[in-house]
Amino acid sequence: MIRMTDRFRGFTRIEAVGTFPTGLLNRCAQAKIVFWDAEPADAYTLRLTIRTRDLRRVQELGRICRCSVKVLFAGGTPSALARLRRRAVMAIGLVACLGLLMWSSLYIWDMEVIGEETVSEAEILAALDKAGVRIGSFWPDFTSDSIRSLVLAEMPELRWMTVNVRGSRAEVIVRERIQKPEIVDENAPTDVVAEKTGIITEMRVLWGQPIAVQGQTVLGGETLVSGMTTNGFAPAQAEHAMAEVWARTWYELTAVSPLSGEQKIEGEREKNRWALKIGGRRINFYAGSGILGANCDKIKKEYQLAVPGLFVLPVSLLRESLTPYDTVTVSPDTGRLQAELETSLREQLIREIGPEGEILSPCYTAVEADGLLYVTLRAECRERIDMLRPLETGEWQTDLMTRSTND
Amino acid sequence: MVFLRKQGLALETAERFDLPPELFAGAPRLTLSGTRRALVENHRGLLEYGRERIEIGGRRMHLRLLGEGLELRAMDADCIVITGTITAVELEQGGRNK
Repeated sequence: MIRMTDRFRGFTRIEAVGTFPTGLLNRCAQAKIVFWDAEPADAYTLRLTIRTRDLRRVQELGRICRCSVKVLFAGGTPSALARLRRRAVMAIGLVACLGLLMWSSLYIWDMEVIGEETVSEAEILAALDKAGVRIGSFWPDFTSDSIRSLVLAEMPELRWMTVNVRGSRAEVIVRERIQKPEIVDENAPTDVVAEKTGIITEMRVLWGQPIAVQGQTVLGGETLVSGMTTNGFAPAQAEHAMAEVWARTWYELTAVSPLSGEQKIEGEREKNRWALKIGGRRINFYAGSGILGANCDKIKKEYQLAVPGLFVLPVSLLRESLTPYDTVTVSPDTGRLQAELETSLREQLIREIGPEGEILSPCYTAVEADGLLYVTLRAECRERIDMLRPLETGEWQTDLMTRSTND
Repeated sequence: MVFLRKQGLALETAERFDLPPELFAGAPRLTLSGTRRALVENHRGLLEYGRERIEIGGRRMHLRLLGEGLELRAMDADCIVITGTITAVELEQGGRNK
């Protein structure tokens, strides 16, 4: 560390030639002159490094020791500045670059959105753009609070957000609003109807007038429990029917897949092409458009000019790797293809019957026809089929009138 | 001769009263850290400086370090630090090898 600071303050490498050059080291030590890298060249020559500010004193000590002191080279900040004084244009350029870098760091050149789950990053960036925060914005004009109030008013899906600017990179952190679950109005008059066709195996009526009975075959949409209740004494009332109805249901699902397909074989020759992106402008270092031929893969990689955590510049280098490929027709293993289709059908069936349902007897059949493989799943299942259907105002009022007339 | 007698007397007194001779009589003190580093205190200056041989003056004696790749790491009016591979240390008192 001492050597580093010495180098920063400026150092000079000297050569002492005389009959007793070691005497110069003794004199320097007595005069408290710091030296390092003392290197004997031969019996009469010694090279050492001293601080530049001590050079004059060492030359005087050299005269006392009858040594000739020759400067070999000088380094460190003072000599670098002295060199720069001789190269005014370079010095001005350096200062201009530093100034540009500092000025550039006051603008946003990169934006990153963190914490989004259901809302897309593009939507958030569009809302920020409306609030004036975009690539190239002068960020001292904004505060996190002002951006938050504008964006949250624009996007009610967001609960909270903040914008942290580090260097020229804006880090947008968002938290999404948790949606309220749908609340069932337990006072609204409803019927319980069958969601699917099946044979009722179990029926638990919590409220309402049962229409169907256990063992009965019902069609999808058929009323199972009516919300219109009557006890024989009072007029009929429209109420919120509730029931849990389980039934045996049957499914037939079919999946189809071609027995031959095309497979991609990558070519060996990979071609790279480069482009420079400055702000929103792009300069291509290749001729022609970016549209590729039919059989070609394109992988893009962007190298941004930045020091991570310090600053980001609006300049990036784009590399596009183009790999041509050929296609060949292949016939996949029929057994494996059938197994994949069966798995797919089973997953589809599980989605249909829901997590509570169960598959009682699955049966798969496979048929090959016209170059296609047909796999069919026929299954008997057990699942809940009850579903609430609201009673329309006119419907239950008419029903009430009819029942009153009958009574 | 009078000085030498005085010096011998000082050393003898230091030994007799169990006092550090480098403080009482100004004798050089050599501290070796293995074979890679040597610290010489109370020196009287470098007499010879080479990669294989460094000779240091002390009060009434010379101290000679022999080795390979010897290097003067630091030096001030009181101390000298030498690094390198030290293979031997020779003491010379009053022109005689000890």
